[in-house]
Amino acid sequence: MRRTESESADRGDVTPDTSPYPIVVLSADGSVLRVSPSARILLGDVPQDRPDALRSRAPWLATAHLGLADGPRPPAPSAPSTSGPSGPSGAEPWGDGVRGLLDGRSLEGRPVPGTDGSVTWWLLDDSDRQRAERELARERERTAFLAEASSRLLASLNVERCMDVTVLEAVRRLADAAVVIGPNPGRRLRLVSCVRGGSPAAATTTQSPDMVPGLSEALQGFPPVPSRWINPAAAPAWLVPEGFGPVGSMAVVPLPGQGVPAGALVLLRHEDGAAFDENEETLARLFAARAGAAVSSARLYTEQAAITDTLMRELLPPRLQQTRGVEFAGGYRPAGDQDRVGGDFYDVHPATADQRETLAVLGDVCGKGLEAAVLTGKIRNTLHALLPLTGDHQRLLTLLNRALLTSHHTRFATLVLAAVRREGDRARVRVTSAGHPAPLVVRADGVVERVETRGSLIGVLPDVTSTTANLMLGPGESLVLFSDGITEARGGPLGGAEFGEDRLRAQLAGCAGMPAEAIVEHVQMIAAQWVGAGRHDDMAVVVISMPHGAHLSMVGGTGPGRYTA
Amino acid sequence: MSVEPEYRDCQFDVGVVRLEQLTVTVDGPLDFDTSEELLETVGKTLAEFREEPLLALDLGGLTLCDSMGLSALLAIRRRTTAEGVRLVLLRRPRLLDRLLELTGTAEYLIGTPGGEDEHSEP
Repeated sequence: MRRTESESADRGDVTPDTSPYPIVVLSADGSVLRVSPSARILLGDVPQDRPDALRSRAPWLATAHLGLADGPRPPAPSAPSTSGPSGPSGAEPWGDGVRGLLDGRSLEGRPVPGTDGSVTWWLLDDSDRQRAERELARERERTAFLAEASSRLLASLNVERCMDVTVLEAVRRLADAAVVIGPNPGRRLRLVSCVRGGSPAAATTTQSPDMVPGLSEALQGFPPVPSRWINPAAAPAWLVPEGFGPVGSMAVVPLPGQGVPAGALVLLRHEDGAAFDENEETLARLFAARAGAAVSSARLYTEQAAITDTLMRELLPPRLQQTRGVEFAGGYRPAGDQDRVGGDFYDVHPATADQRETLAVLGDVCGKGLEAAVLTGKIRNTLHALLPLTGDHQRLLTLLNRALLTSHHTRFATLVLAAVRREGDRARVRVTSAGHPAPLVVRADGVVERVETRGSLIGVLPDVTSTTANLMLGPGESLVLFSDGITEARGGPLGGAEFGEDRLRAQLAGCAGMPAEAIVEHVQMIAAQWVGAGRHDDMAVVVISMPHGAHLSMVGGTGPGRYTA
Repeated sequence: MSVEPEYRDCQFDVGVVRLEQLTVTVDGPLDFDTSEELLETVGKTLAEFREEPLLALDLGGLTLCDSMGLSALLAIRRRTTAEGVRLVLLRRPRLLDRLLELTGTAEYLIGTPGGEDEHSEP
């Protein structure tokens, strides 16, 4: 390594000296004949004419050279080569060459036979390429790990499952054991830990996170401290999974959530394993960012789902049944399957001792989502409280309107009230629409009539008006209340047509004499077929039917009449 | 040239012109997705032209009006009333008149039940 190029050039060697690549020319017995200046930098001073001189510096090259003698020696003419690196003599390279290390560099030797029985070895330094290839492979592997971890993390909106996946993915690539610590709103820490090859185990502890170096900070979302600053022996027993043994190295990484920290990830390695290097800590942080986002999304979703569930229990349409010899049936299909509570609602309040009529209500609240759900709840509760006033629909609607009026918004509801009272084998029904599509009556002979009622919507106007229709339902006749989600459903053979009231009437004409439940099923089925896979609004339908002839419920003797089969 | 009907239906545009009267024009569907934009435009317009005694909504290009659209019109009516501005709905398409009639809001929004004076295209 001491000689410079200019010095060697003075020696007068012919081809090797002028070559930019390191070249060593070896005789058949392995002694060095000529060395190019750059090869001299690599090999140092190798005494010439001594067969074993090279072996001490580059045994792999010496061995490969002697090995050449065993194989067939290719002809060494100076034929022009067409491919591959050609030697100074123009000969073809001999075989695939050999690779070995020299002073930490990776060299590839390619032999080219000379005319005099010597062999010219071209030495190619591919250390940088090899390093780049290793880096690339490592980077690819990291990216693949992160991508795979992300897709597994995002596959679930369940917090526990997300924490399980986090530790499982961490032990797959990053550490021998991993512990996820949930953010602690209370005094307990929630842990999920997993050892490589094991399954995740959840636990809670009342221990303080201060016992783990860097954990309190990580739980508050501060950037992690380098792993080498953390004394692995400081890991408390409650943190280390059972049977893990002594901890060799430990890293504590925050799980960044959406705005608020989602917890922390502790990575542990065995004593005999390597410590976390800078690259691995970076990878751990990248992984933790993904895990944190997944855990906090899941947490938000869980909270939202809990709120929705609470609301839903109050808002889901009731199961309807026969009341005092009159059949009530209802069906509801929300606009999106994801929002189980939508803008439509219905209720049936059975007659009581002091209130002779059964009141059926079907309504449609403007808008969707939580605000619509809240308004729906308000209307249903208010109506329930106003039940003693059902004798006068206009008065009931006026009071309801007043209760709902607010200066905050102009959300409104439209609804239909139907007060039903049985009279012999018929039912007397008073129907009032408050800005809602008028209900339809299906007569026993298949004639479909629209009920003549109209009124103003509820919740915005200072005063509301309405007209109430009186009608009688004979045996086998039905009153059909529906929301505009059914008549305005778009679909059909060409996709864009409105279902419309005419089609609904035509369908209902075929439902004469059918039980209420069957009519609801039929209308829902037809509407569903009409929209197909397309978008639709909430669709609600309530059917009130007077059964044919006698009814079994009368056998119990609770009804006022005598009926026989 | 053919435009996908659904695509064309979804084009929504609100504009403001001030000729003899202050006019906000509405084109396209007025629904859950677009009513907020109309409310904002009307709010800004009312704030900008404080002295104007009348605000006209030109609804000639309205292609659809759902319950949220009606809610927006009711909100506009409430706002103009509070500010002492007279609201007129110009060139109402039949679909809107049907909706106002069904929901009993025609009188509140148009003044007279039916409101033939400001109805139909000029």
